[in-house]
Amino acid sequence: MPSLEETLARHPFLAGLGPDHLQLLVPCASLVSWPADQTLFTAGEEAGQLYLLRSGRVAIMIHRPRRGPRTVYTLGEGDVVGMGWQDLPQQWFFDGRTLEVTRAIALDAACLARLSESHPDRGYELLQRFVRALLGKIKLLKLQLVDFYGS
Amino acid sequence: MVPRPFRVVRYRRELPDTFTLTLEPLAGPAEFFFQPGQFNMLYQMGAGEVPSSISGAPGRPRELVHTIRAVGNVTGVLQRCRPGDVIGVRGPFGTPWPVAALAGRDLIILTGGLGLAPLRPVIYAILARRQDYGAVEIIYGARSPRDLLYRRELERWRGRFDLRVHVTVDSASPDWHGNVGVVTNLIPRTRIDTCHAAALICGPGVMMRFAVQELVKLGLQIQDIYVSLERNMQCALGLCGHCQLGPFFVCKDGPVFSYDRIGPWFEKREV
Repeated sequence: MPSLEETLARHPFLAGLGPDHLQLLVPCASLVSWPADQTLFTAGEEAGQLYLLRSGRVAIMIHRPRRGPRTVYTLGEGDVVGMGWQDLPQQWFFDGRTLEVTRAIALDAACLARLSESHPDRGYELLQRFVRALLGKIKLLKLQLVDFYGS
Repeated sequence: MVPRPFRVVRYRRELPDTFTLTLEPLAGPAEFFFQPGQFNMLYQMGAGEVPSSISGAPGRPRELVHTIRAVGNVTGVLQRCRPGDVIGVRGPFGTPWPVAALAGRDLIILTGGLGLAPLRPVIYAILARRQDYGAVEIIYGARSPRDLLYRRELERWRGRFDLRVHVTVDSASPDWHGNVGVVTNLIPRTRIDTCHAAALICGPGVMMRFAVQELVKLGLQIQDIYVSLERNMQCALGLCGHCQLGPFFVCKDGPVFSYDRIGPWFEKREV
């Protein structure tokens, strides 16, 4: 069974980080898994963790008063679910629910914030990766707004 | 070129505005041969003529299949056709997908909305000679689960061990357990050998443009990416100029182009 550090190294979000950097992340990380159809978080709750998905899928949903929930997008293996580790405490903006059995690395946001304070260069590297993932997500959501299939 | 009369033998409602007609010739040869990607001009007496991609199996030349979206006068009249009615057919026209030339390679078939119709003959052709190809992945996107074309067939293809099928919709209620997000989102999830792969794309123009960008980012060469274009085809013979795109007549030089050939024109705004 691979160590936590090895598992961290295998995730695309952390790929290429040096062993010393991964070592620093180990105290912030834990392995989690959920069954299908499990609510992971609800809009308005404190977002104390980031999840690096290793397998499975998570639906990001918005609840519309009187019209029920709507899935805005789904995330899968290799994706990052979370609000970051800046300006804590943060709140979840959407609801999150697993669509199938899902495994992830949970990163504690407060722990990441402390790491970034004590090791700014390592924190900057992580932040760059987070911004890159965020920009990719924003681009896809913008395309979603285009409505490709509109006549 | 005079339209040949064909009888409607089957009508199938696919979506509220989309339907499939199965036709057989009333006169002349009993078989209608075509290559995947080609199109016909469908003529409705008293209404006019429209281009429509052939969406049936090339290995079944005794039935001609067209899936059509009712968006105007002629397609609206075609939507009212029922078994026994007669329509005119000119064709087949245009360049096909290079199905035989791609033997031995991994393939991504990427499509959105009604774009699955012109690619369905490719899928049939590949499945008929599945051993000739490497990994094959189909990526299909639609606006919502209700807008998925050929849903039963997608489910059947998804059940095969020699095909990976990814389906996504732009938005869905919680009872949809599939992917939600734009179709380009699924491109990085493919497991094909990008050095040895080709992609066939058909769908809305914006979708194709961003899909090409993602495929290139994944490592595909632009000469290995093929797109099928939709333009205002009227004569289908390269004479009237309605479908002209830069130096090309889409009806005659296309509708299927390799992206290295059409790319510079495809991305121009004023043509």
